[in-house]
Amino acid sequence: MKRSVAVGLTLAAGVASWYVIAPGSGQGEVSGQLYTDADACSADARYTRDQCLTAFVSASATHEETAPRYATAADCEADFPGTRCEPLHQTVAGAAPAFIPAMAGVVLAAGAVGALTAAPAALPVYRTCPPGTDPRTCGASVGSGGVGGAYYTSGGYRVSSRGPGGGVSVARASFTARPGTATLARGGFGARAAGHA
Amino acid sequence: MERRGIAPRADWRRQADAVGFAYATIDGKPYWDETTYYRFTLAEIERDLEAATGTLIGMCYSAVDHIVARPELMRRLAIPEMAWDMIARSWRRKDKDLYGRFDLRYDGASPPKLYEFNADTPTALFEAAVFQWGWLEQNIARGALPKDADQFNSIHERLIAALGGLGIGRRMLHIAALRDDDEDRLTVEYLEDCARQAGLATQLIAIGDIGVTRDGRFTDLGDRIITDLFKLYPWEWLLAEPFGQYLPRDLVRMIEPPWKMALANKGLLAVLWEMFPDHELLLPAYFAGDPRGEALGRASVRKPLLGREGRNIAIGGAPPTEGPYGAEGHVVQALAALPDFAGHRPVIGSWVVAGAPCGIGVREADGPVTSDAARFVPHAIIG
Repeated sequence: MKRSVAVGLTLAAGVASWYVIAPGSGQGEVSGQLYTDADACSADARYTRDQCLTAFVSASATHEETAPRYATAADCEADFPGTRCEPLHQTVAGAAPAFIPAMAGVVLAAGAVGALTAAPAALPVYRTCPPGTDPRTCGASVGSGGVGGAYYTSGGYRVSSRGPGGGVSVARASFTARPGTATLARGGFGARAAGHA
Repeated sequence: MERRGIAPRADWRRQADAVGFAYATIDGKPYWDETTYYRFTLAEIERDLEAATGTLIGMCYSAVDHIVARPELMRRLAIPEMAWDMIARSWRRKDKDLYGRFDLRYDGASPPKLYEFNADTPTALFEAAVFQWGWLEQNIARGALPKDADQFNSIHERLIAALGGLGIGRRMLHIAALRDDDEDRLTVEYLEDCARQAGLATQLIAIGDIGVTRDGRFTDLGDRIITDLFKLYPWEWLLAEPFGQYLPRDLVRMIEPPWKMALANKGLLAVLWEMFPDHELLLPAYFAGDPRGEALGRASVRKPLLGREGRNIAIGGAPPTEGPYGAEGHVVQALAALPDFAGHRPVIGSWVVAGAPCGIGVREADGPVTSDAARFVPHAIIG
């Protein structure tokens, strides 16, 4: 046979992901759950296993794009005591090396981006030592799987516990603001009208 | 190869609407035309079109090797000097390309001839890969075509496999186009669908929404860094626009890759003729000003190096069709008129995905030049 066996389209008309999130447009806090891995997520009845796996894949992709970037592993680990920093998989040969902290978990928040998507928004979070703590003792605790340190977003927003039930809250802006990648300008492409082969 | 009439499916317009194929009808005239179809034999498809397409893509890859090693040819192709190193690097790195469409002259009687290669921003993709496929399946199901009818069209499967094989992994693939153009929008929404089926995380973005950071990286509207960018927007336009200066820094993996610029240029036709003189799949072609091209006289077609959609095409010294192209120069190609099937002039769009021939779409014009008004007519393999 010279033709495709099946031509299935998963996108019905009009639901392609053109939606845009205006940087910093959100206000206030978003509630959600913090999971350290997909198994912990699945063990919680809130989400199905598929939702959890999808969320962790999505968060991993976001992680590679938005995690704080350092020129050396040492600088990275200085900011994230007790965390293993990993070389960023570079898109392009010859690009300068970069190191990012390991993702420590994912905050899942249904409704963080409103009705834009039915899937819960998945935010990668990192574990580091809050201001005022001793990075050596805190870092040792983080590195050994202890309770030291706290969870932060790539933008430096702290993920706060909200008490019983395991719920957390985090600044809504975490889901949109991307520190370190501040866009200086837009509109430098697209001047030409439509029309090509 | 034969042109045959067939009753259209009663609900094809509803089906087109349902999948967002808004340009199936343009200004009240059918662009998608299923009142007729072209019938090919399997031998015509395999021996002629598929084999020719495989040979041509191989010749094109040889041409890239030839061109990137010759600055004088890059200049002749009007490729901006700022891009030469980037093009050579991307070729040496073996950056993967995704797709392209050869436009072939074919009448079922003589070997195919290459009119041109749409290597950078080929469209008419959705109708070839998806809508044409549904037409065949449904006509077999309703008994209007024989049960063993087939189609040269595994474009959809090949696209999913190729997108999955680009090495994007867990990074996000951004897909950019002019959002307010119906055809471009559907093309990229379809490609996004394929990319998702290949397991990729995706984000569409209007080409004008792309941002740039202080260090020259591109961002989306969520301020996420764009690491891998498919763009349905010509390379030469990107380079000429304000953000084009950041592209040679190689901070983003582009699809199509930079080396496709060596092929997305009508000057390729002259390069191929020089490299493979008298090849049976080629028409004689020369850069404008070459006496051998001028000697073709009225039996020639003059095409802009960077032209699209049948614009600015001059046949045999007649005034050119209208259009904005031609400032970069021209090629002159020996005239090989479109075949005539009862007054209709089909051209074969032959698709390659990841370097492999995988399907065709037939566009039918009423005049000598295939323009964006040419109708898309489905095809079937019978016999």
